[in-house]
Amino acid sequence: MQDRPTSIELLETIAWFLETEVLDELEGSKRHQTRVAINLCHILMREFDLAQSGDIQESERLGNLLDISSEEGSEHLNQILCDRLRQSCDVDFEKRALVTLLENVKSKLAIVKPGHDDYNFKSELDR
Amino acid sequence: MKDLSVGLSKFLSEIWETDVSIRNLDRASAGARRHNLLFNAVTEIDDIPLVATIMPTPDIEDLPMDVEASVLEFARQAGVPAPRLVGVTTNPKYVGGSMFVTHRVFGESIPRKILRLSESQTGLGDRIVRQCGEALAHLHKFPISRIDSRIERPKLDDPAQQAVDDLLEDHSLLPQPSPTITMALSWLSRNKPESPEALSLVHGDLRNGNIAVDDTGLVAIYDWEIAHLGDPMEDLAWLCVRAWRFRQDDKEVGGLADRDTLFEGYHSAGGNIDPIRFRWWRLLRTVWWGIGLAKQAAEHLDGSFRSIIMAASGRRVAELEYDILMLLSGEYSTVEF
Repeated sequence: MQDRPTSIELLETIAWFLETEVLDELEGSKRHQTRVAINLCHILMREFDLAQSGDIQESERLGNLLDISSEEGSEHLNQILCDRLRQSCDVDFEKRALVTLLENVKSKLAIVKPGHDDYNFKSELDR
Repeated sequence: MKDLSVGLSKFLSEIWETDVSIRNLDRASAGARRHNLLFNAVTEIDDIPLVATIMPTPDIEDLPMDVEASVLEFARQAGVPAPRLVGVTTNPKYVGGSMFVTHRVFGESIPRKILRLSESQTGLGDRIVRQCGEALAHLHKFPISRIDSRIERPKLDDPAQQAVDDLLEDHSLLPQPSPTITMALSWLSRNKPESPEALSLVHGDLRNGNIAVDDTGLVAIYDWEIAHLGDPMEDLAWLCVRAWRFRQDDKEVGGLADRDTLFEGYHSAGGNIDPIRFRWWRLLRTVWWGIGLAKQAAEHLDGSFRSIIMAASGRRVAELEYDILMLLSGEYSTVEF
């Protein structure tokens, strides 16, 4: 077991350092790139908290959709889903897949862009 | 920068047939792969603000620089506010790569600053978007017989099929295929619209990010590097893709105004909207950008273009997947969440 700071505390420290000590020294594209680096630190901090449970739930949802054991792992199950979607044109299956994929994408967004799924496109879908 | 100054001076002196010196040379922040240099060209009688767009590596060019320069001229003849061309060269002897030089346009071009400007002045967002619609109508109805023959043309003059084929290939090359994108491509392939009556020159990347505005409205449309012959609805659809709204999601066109305002501008300048093709291209270009972001991450990871921005793009794919699924849900109208 490593001594503190923990991984997540170190990430928070890197983000804090970039934000308070570095950002004001920079301008133009370097400043933009540093903002991106800070955002990546925040993404990783959320990933430490959420990724493990998110991956398990993703596998379970994919396993249910495909009627395959979720122990196969999400990467493998996503590949199987891609193959099935490519090979057949089953609209009912696609509608069920859409619901599953939306849940999985929302899990990813909780880490990479919280709030992106607040917008529901309702006003523009029917036009 | 000193070498670039010497090269620019030599190039302009040759095409203007007079001595030209360079002052205030500065690198603009725009452009990940191509460099934009701002400078003043000084002659005995003039001091002219210019921009040099330089492509250091020809193998990452979308359009050869001389073709892109001819597109700028085509657009201006069509009545579109593209930057005014000064000269172009594909000879690397001046600045180490291909280059074109244009007159500098003074206006705001950073998307969030454009949004702030439009919020500070009632009606400005609507005016900019209406002018974008008018500019696109002028571009799309201008006869393509006048365009450089080297410009990309879809196979069998079927832009939708070409676009789907290109995306299927690009997606197949990604290290991590996306089921969302796979499903969207399958839907797009099965529901391909009719081709337009005639092909148009399509800018291909008109969005909040490739325009310059001031308090009078639109002053320039930049970045013609992926211009091609295609379906005019592609340009209108791309302008409405959510990625360019910068959190102003209720204003479909770049966070500036609603879609009706864009369409009014397009109609007023003689353009015709096909809502079915518009919807299809809106989904296609959302998929296109999702694949584009994944490609950027892949290029960073395989070492061909290392960049923290490109790495971060990989974690933005989920945003596009969400947008794709929501657009698809409108097509599978019986789906409920």
